[in-house]
Amino acid sequence: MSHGGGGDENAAEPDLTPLLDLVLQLLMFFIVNVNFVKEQVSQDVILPKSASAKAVEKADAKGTLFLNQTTEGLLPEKVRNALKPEEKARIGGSSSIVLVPGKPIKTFLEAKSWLKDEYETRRQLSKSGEVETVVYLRPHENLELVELFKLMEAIKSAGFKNMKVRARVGRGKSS
Amino acid sequence: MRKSAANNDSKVVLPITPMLDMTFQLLFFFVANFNPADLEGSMDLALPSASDDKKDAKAAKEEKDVDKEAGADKDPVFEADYTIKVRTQGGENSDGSITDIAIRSISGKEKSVGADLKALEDYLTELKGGGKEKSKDAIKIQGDSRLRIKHVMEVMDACRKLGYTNISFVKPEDFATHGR
Repeated sequence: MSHGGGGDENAAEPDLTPLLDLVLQLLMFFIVNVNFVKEQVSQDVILPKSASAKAVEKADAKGTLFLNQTTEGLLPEKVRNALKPEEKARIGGSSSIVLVPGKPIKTFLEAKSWLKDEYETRRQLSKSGEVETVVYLRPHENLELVELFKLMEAIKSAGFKNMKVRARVGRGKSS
Repeated sequence: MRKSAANNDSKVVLPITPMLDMTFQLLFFFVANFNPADLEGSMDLALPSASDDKKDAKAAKEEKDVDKEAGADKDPVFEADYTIKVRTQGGENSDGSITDIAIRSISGKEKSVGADLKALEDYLTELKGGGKEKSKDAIKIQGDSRLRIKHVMEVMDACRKLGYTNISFVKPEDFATHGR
């Protein structure tokens, strides 16, 4: 009898504390590294690779404008198939398209006029009347150079002064 | 005595199991949503001034008019030791790859090194090592309109590898025909 009672008291209980420690550490890692909204970048645009690109500092959302430039043909098939027919017809004839997350896909000409409006809005909101916005260009690696220059001209004629181009940091040839 | 013995038996036990359950659920959520993107970098960019592409006089005039309207500041003018012309095949079926690279020195001498980036590096090393012309570590890259951006970056990386820190872009020669 006493033996049986002693057996109950000494029931084997796994020590969960180290497991919990480990799990919490893993959890911490993923919480710190998760990034749901990747600024205003579009993952549908494959950037060119460059070893000379400087690592990006955390951008101030108010002082930046991200323009993802690609063409309809360079969009992933999944994204292309998800386009509405009227959207497809609208962007079909455009030499390049500009993706600004949260806004409808813009043709180059639409982007050109939108940039002017955007500059004016930012100028009015600015206390000093100066627009310090940095425009980040994210061109697709297979985009033609002429399209990048056209967008650069559009940005400049809208009034923006600071431009940066983004690339994947790394050595070796692009895909 | 009896009472104190009973107190010793009833230890406060923290229930770890539900906490572990919840932590696992959270962990699963973050693991499922973890999607590390490629590390991104940025490069400063300035639109070359009209003086950089005198050949495109019409475009330069239009640009000047736009500047007047917008009240924009004067463009920076880049001085460079060499201009690297990166050419691709023309036509609708162009795949935008490099077909020829030519280096034009400040004295106007132009030399073609073919489509090989290694040959470009070798030639630039030779120029730099020779010390025939005073180096400003500045270089201009002028690609054809149909050239793919990834190839421009490759040329830029090759130049930077050799110590050319000040790299600027020049509008494509055929911008007037393709860019309008």
